Amino acid sequence: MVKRFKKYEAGEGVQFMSRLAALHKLQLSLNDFRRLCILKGIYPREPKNRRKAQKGQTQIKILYHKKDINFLLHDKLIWTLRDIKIMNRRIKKADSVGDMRLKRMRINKYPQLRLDHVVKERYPTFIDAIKDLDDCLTLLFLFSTFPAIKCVTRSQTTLCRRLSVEFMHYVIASQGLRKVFVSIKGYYFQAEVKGQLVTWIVPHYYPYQPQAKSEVDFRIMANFVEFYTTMCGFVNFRLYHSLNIAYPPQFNVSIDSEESQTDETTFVSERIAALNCEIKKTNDEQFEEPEEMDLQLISNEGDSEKVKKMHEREKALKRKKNLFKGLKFFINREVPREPLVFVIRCFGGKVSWDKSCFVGSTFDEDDETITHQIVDRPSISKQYISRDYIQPQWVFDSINQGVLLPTNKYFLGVTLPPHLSPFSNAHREITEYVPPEEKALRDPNLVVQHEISDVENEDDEDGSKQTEGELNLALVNAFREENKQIRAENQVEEKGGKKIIEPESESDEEIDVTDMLEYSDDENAEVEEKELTKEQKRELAKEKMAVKSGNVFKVDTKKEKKLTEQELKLRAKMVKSRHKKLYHTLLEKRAKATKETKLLENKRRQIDETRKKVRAKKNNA
Amino acid sequence: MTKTAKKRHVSMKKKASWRKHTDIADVEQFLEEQRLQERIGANIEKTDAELFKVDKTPNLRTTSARLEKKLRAQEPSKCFISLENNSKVQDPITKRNRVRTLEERKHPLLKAKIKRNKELGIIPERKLQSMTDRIAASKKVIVTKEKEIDFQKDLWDGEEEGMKENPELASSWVNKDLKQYHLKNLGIDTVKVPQITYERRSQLKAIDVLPGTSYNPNKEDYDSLIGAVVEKEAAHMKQSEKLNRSLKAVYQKTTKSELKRRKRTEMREGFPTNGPIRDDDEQPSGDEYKTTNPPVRNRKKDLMKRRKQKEHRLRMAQAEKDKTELKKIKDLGMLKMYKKQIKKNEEVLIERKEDRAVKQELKKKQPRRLARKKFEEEDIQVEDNPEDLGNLRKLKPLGSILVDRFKSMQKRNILVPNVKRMPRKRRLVRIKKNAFKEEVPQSKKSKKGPKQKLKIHD
Repeated sequence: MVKRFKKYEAGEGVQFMSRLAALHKLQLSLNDFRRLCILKGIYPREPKNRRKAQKGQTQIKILYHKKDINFLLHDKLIWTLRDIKIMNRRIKKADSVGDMRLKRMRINKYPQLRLDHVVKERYPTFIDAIKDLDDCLTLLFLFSTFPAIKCVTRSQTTLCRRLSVEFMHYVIASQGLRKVFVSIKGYYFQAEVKGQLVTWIVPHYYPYQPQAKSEVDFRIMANFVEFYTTMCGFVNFRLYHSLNIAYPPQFNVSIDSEESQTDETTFVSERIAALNCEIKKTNDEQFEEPEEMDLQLISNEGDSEKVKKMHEREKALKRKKNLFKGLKFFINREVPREPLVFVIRCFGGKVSWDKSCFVGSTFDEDDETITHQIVDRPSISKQYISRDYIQPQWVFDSINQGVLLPTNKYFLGVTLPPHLSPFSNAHREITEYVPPEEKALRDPNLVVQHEISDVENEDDEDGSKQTEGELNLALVNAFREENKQIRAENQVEEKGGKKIIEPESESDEEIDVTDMLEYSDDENAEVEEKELTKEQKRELAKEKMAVKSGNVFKVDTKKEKKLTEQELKLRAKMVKSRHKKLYHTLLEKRAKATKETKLLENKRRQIDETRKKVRAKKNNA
Repeated sequence: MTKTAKKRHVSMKKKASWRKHTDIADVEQFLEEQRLQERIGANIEKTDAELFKVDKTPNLRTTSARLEKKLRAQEPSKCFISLENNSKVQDPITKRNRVRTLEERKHPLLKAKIKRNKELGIIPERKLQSMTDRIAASKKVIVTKEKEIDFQKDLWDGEEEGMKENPELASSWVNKDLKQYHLKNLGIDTVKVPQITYERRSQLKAIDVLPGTSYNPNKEDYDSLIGAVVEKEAAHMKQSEKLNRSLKAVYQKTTKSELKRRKRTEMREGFPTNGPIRDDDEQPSGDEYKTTNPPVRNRKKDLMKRRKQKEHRLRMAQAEKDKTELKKIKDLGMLKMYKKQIKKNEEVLIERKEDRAVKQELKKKQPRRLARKKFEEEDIQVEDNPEDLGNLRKLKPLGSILVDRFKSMQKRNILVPNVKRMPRKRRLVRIKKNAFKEEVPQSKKSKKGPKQKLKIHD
């Protein structure tokens, strides 16, 4: 007999499984199942056709993929969860019987969930783990400040604290911090870790708020933290080893002393003190990053526009990394220290604070070598001439713009310029309209050169290198230009019957063309040289040797522009046919955007002019 | 007429019949009374005045209710009252062997010494030590040990699990299946992760930064953020207004008296009233029977009618045919127009297809429908007074990062947007059993319960 076709026996009908069915299959309670799913990173799914997936039922159920559930079924964690359930029961029994010794014994034997294999499964490569670090860090930083509550144990929060401090130390050591943003919610940080951008939020002090129970399920979040602590530990281990630092790092101050568990201020200040101390490296030798090597190789090959840009970016980044090198900061006691210490240390600065208030300060307020004092109050009684008194925003804004901003806008009691988000501006296209106020804020011309101290000599060298690089570029351009001129002259002379051997051109782009030209020229020269007399030859040689007055090299902007346009057109021709549509749409988009910005700029100009007129009229009147 | 039992004559010949028929109730009662008196040890026969007295002073509470409760708790439980020995009858065995209490066992000299020390205020060293110990223990901080997790392992060093311990399996000569087999038997599971399990669930970023939330925001950013909040609030208000409007008829406010009146009329429905009888629905008059649907009669059509009907049908069919024929001829002329129409339709179809694609793409960024409850976006937190902004020292942190994370995970399809079900609160009912009633003196103030107000869905 032919097998009868039945509904929901193939396709979506078998692919999905409701949560209840999954519970039955795994033989777990709902709480255990939730925990397992969070630990293993398995989430419910939305089917394409819900009716089919639910075997004809239409109400919305929580569905899991059958493969996911089968995957869970084979995990060792399930057995541990079952053991935990039984151990809970036994502890409860010992408690109710009143046998405290037995109870303690059983608590000591409590089964532990081992998660390292899960971390490996979820993140097959190290980069995968780093990509998922955003959530992890945010939760760890948040939980590290929590008090011990029912579902978040003290040991969990201390572990969170340890891991978060360790990660911050890694960022300091690798100079990986890129962006900071102070919002009403907390501090947003962005760091580059192994080429990946990792963003996280550090809450303002003091972040724990008792939650309305219906809003956030604490137990769920605690489960996430349970996994993320394990993950962060292994990530930290590898990160530290990549920098040749011993893991776990040893600090001069303890992060977790007995006093810190009773006193809140020491609890906070210990953590900050730990941030301010150097950690030991296993090897003193610095090892160079492979990225730099690559760039140098590329730069030798030829300097196309792209490589040039990369070069510049790299240089800017290098400058940014050592932004605060040689600067000494002193933080007044009303300023939130933790983010500032972290940020300043990341960019090579030195920080200290009031010795009498908090532990871990490295130098006193009366140290004359202090360059900046960070103050957040309208005025201060005793001021030193040798240092700048600035508000904390200066530090954040300087970092975001990669230069030391003029301090006069951030002096005591001065109304601050707005603190802009560095995250939103990253997406802003060049063609977009930027109001002149913002332009002024971002103008690199306003960079102030700070006094160079002994430590900073290295930095200075970098600067000189950079200027050299710029000069080189200009020189190369000039050389190219000269070549062109000479060639043009040659052509003219050839027509006139004079013969000059063309100098070898060194520019890479023209090699193929000029080689051919040279070849033909040489043949001509050989033929014609025989006909020349000795005198003529001598004259020629003289001409060659003569010192001519040099021409002032001028960059012809029009020509340059034309050349670049031509280059662009050529490049457009190189675009693959399948990308052509995309390319044109992009071009159209850009053209549209530029048009809009121009319109806006015009509008602004008109408004300014009318304002000027009005003001002039007023003045006259 | 009352029936009285007739006294039957019984023979008292035998001993058994004597036992059976003699009335000894009075003797038994007498003996019972005597035994009771022996037990209680007094004469029961007392007058009421001797037994009871009139309580003239109110026994106001002297101690707090809490203390009283505590004292009462120290007394033996009422359920054991029957076990108490109230008998005044002395133990017939005068030298009954029993375990002496701790107090009785103490040496009289020691007893005297303790008593003297107590009078002199001397406290033994042992007791003092225990007291100090207790105080110290209460002040001691419980230092929690950190959970010991060993992170000293590089998970991503490219080494397969179990290869270090079993280097012979690592060689390239070992077959893959064989390796799997050995590893499984060594207790090292090598579960293959299904490809679909860790595919990315959402295109959204984990951390989203709103430029307007800066502690010292740009005016434009701040305004745009406020605008977003206002927009959301306006939509919410509009929705609630709409609900109010449409549900006004359903949920009315009613006064208490109105409700009472309605109830009374409802309960009285069907009973004869004193007032005039309403005659709005007329009673059907006596004999005539009427149904709502009049009976259908099957009238036969006559031949002429049938013929005419047929003719009409044929005529209509012919007309239809003619019409289609005519249309065919006409359509030849309309071909151009039809072509245009088809082209237009096709264009519309293509447009729709594109729209659908765009919609699909947009849907990817939207949270998916995972559970019965839809995802609700968290309210945007803004400082409504811009003057409070711009100072780090005076900054009031707004919004919880925990809630933010929770919502973000829901948005990225990691968590299901369900409401947490709290365990049902059970109402505690206190019942007083008469058997265990305590005489609790009334406090001066009598507690009044809150007045119940009647309100229906305002």
